[in-house]
Amino acid sequence: MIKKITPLISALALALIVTSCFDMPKSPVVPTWDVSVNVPLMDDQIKMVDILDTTASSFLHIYDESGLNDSVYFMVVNNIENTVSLQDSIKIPAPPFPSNTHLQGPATGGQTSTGIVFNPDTEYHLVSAKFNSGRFIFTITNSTDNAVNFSIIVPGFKDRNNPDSSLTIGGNIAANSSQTYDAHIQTFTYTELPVYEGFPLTPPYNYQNAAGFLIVLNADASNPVDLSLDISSSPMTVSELEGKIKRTELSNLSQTIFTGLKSDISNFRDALRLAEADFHMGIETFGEMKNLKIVFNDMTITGYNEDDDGNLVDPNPLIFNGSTTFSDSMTAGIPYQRDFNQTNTNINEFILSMPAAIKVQNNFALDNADPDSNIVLSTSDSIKIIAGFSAPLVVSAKRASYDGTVDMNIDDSNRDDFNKILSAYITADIYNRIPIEVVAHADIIDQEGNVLFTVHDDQGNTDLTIPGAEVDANGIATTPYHKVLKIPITNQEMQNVLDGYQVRVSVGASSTGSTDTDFGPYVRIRANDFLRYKLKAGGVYHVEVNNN
Amino acid sequence: MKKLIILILALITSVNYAQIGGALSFNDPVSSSMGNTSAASSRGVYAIHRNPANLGLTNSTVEVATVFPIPNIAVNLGTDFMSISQYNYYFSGENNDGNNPGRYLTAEDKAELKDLFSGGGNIFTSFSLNYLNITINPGKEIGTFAFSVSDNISASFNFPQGVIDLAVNGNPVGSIYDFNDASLSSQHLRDYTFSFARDISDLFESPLKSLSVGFSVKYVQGFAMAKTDQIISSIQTNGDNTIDVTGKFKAYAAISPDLNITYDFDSTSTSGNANYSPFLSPAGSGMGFDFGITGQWEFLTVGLAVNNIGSVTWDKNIAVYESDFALSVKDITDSDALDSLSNLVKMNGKYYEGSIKTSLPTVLRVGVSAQLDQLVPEIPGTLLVSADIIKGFNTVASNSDQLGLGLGLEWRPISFIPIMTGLGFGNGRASVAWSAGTGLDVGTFEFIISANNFGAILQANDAKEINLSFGSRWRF
Repeated sequence: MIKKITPLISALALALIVTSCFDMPKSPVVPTWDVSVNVPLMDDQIKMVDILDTTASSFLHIYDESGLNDSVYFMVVNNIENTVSLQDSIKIPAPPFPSNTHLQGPATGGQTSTGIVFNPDTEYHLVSAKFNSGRFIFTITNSTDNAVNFSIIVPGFKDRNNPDSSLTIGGNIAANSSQTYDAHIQTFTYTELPVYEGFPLTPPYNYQNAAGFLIVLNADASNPVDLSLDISSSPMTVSELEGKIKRTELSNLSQTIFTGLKSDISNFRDALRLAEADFHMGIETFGEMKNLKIVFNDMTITGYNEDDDGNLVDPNPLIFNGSTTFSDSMTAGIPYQRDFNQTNTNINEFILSMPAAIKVQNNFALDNADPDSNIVLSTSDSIKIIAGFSAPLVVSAKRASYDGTVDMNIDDSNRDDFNKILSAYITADIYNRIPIEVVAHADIIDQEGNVLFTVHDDQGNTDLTIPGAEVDANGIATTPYHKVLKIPITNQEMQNVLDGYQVRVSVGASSTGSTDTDFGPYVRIRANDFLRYKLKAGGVYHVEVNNN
Repeated sequence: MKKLIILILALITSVNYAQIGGALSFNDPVSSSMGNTSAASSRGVYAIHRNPANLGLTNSTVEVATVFPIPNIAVNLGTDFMSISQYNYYFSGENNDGNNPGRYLTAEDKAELKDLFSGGGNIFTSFSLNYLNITINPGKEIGTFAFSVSDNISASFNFPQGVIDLAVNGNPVGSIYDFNDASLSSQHLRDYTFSFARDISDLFESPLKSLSVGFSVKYVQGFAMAKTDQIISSIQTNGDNTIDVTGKFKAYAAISPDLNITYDFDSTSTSGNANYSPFLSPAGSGMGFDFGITGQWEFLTVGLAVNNIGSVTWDKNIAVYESDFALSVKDITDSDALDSLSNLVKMNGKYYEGSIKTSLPTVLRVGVSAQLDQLVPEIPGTLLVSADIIKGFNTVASNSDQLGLGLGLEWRPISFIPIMTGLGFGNGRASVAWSAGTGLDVGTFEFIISANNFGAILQANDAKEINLSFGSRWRF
C-alpha cells in the first residue's frame, strides 16, 4: 500500500515545489525604448496678402477688383485733401482819404444837384456785386445861414427787396452845421451804371464817367445853397462780384497726414529702390468763379519722423527740381493736375524715408486771369486741393538685414521632452513665388553671448537661403523657386540648444537678382505672391513613461 | 498574481465599454484534468454539460454537486503571447523588482517583444461557478433526469499586433499598421439546464452493453455582454510624413438593468445602487440544446455530443458604440485639425433599439474511452483512458473553431485516490497542454482538484496561462 502511495505523494510534492517556484508578477513598470517618429509639422501657404496686412496700415493698398489679389502692392498716401473757401476773402479796403464834392445853388434857391464817382481802391472795379458788410460814410456840411433839404443817392445800389429803390440818404441840414450819415450796403445789390469816360455827370445821372460808385447829392432850398459832401467808406466785404479785383492772398493751407509707417522699416531705405513712385496733386474750383487766376505759392511737402513722445522730428522736404518749394497757378474752372516723379522730384528718397507724417503747406492767392475780362466770383466758391503719394512696390532691393534676439523660455516639462530627443531633423519643402530672397542665420547663445549652437542644414551651411522667385521682364514672379531644406540636429546639439539663453537671429532679404552690393532688376511685389511650405519633422525619441 | 489580474483586466477594460461575459461550458474538474476528454468518459453530474447521453450510464440513484462542502469552480486566466517571466522581464523594471526605472529595450528586446505578439495577442479569462447539479436515476427503465444551474463569465480580448509594432518601430515613412485583429468578446450567462438520458439498448437486439441517448434543454439568461462587431482601422505614414488615419468601429454592450450602470452617453439617467441579488433581471435570454449518444461495448465506450446549440437574444439596455472616420493629418500644429481628429476618433454611443443575438459556444465532441484494467489485469487498480476530438463552431469567448484533440487517463492505484492526467492539442493552443488532477473519492463523496494546463504550472514563470478547477459531488 505504502509502495503504491509513494509515487502519488512524490507527484504531489513535486507539484507543490514547482508551484512554489512561481515568481509573482511585479508591479508593472513601463519599459523605456527608442522609437522612430515622423510627423507633419506644417503644410501651409502664405500669400503676401497675409504678410502685408493692408488693414493694419492706411499706407498700404492693393487694388483687388478681380478678387484674386492679383495686384501689386501700393504704398499710398492719398488722403491729403483740403478745401479753401473764399468766404470773406474779397474785401475792398477803406480809402486812405475821403473824397469830396461841393454843391452850390443860385441865390434864389430851387433844386440843384451834383454827382461824383467814389472809388475806395482803384484796383477793384465792380461791375456788379453783393456785399456781406460795409458802409458808406457821408459827412455833409451846410455853410449857409439857412437850413437846406438834401438827399444823397447812390443809384447803382438797389434795395434787394425793392429793386426800384436806390440807396438814399436824405434830410434837412441846419444852417452852418455838419452832419455825418452811415449808409450800410449789405442789403443792396450793386450794378455799375454805364461808364462813359469824360462825359459830364448831369441829371438824370444814367451813366457815370469813371469806374466806381456814382454818388449824387441833391439839394432843395429857397435860399442859396452851399453844401459840401465828404465821402468815405468802411472796408466792404464782397459776397459776389463781377469785375476786377486786385491780387488777394487767401488763408494759408496746412495739413499733416500720419502715414502709420514705423521707423524700424526705415532700416531698409538705403537698400531699396522704387521704380514708379509719384506725387500727384489736383486742384479744382467749385462755384461761379470765372476768369480768376489761382496762384499757389511756395508749396512745401515735408516728411517727418515721430519720436517716442509723438513729436514730429527730422524734417525731410520733397525737392521739386532742386527747390524745397513749388509755385504755379491755375485758372478757375479748369481742373489742375500735376504729377511729380523721380525725374522732377526726389520722390523715391522721400517715400523711402518712410515718413511717419507728411505735412503739406501752401499759400493761395486770387488774381485776374485776363486784364481785359471781368472776373466772376462768390464767397460760396471754394478751391479744393487733393494730393497723394503713390508708390507701387516695384522695387529693387539689395540685401538688408534685420538682427534681433529672442529669449528662450523652455520650461522644465518641455526641457524633459526635448531631452528625450536622441536625434531629429526638420525638412522644409518650400516653393517661393515671392521675388524676394531670404537668408536666415540663427545662433543659440548663452548669457555671455557665447555661441552654443548654430542652425545649419545637412550640408553644413549656417546661412539658410530661400532664393526668390524668377521674374519676367516686367518684374512679375513667374516660376516659384523650389527648395528642400533639411536641418538635422544631434542629441548633443539638442543639449546645447537646451542650455541656450537667447536665439540671435539675422534675417536678410533682397529682391531677385540683387546682391549684397548691387541692385538687380525691379521686381513687383504682388498680393498673390506666395510662399508654399511643408514642414515635416522626425527623429528618434526616447520613450520614457513616469511610472510613479 | 493580483497585480497580473489587475493588469489584464485593465487591458480588457481599456476598451471603451467595460463588461465581462462568459461562455457556456462548465469546466468540470474531471474532464479538465483528463485533457478535456469527456464525450465518452464523463459521468454523473459532470456529464450534464459534456454529453447528456452519459447520464444514462450513471450508477448512482441520486448525485448532487453544489456549493457544499466545496463549490464547483473553474478559473481560467492567461494569454497566448506572454509568460510571467516575460512579463517580469519587460514590465518590472531594470532590476526586475517592480520598483525601479523601466527596462531599456534593446533592439533584440524589441524584436523579441514583437515576436511575442506575432501569433496574436489574445488575453482570456473565464470563471464558472456551478450552483447546483443534480441527477436522479429512478431506474434503467425510466432513464436519468438532471438539472443544473451555473454561471459562466468569460472574456476574450485580442490585443492588436499593430499597436506593438507602432510602439516599438514608431512610424517610419511608408509604414502601414492596421488594428483589424483587435476584438473583444465577453459575456456573463446563467443557464438553467434540464437533461434526460436513457439507455435504449433494451429496445433492440444489439451486441452493445448499453446504448444511451440524452439531451439537454437550457434556458439561458444573459446579465452582461460586450462584443466588437467591427474594427477596421489603420495608420499609414506617407512620404511627406503626413499620416492617414482610418477607423471604423462598432461594438455592442448590454447590461442587466438591476446593475444600474449608466452608459456614458446617457446624461438623462443617474446611477443608482446596483441591485445585486441571486436572480438579476436579465438583459437577454435564449435557449440552448445539447444532445448526445454513447455506446458501450466490452471495455470500450464511444460517445458523441453536440453542446450549446442556440443563442442568446439581448434586448434590454443595449448600447451601440460606433465611429467611422478617415482623415489625413497634415499639420500637427493645426489645433483645429487635431480637435477634429479627436472628435472623429471619439466613439459615439447611443441606445440600440433592436436586439442583438450572440451564439452559444457550440461544440462537437466525439470521444472514445477504454477501461484498460479490464483488458490488462496486471494493471494495478483501475485505469481509464480516453480520447476526444473537439471542434467548435464559433469563436465566442472560451470557444475555438479550430480542431482539437484530447487524450486522458484516470488511474486509481488506490480506489479512493484518482490520479488523472491528459494532453490537449489544438483548439487554438499553440502548444500541448498537459493536464493533471487528483482528489479523493470515497464513493458517496468525491473531491477533485485539477489543472487543465498543469504543464503551464510546471513551467512556472514561463507559463502563459493559469487554470484551476475543483469541485465536489455527493453520490447516493
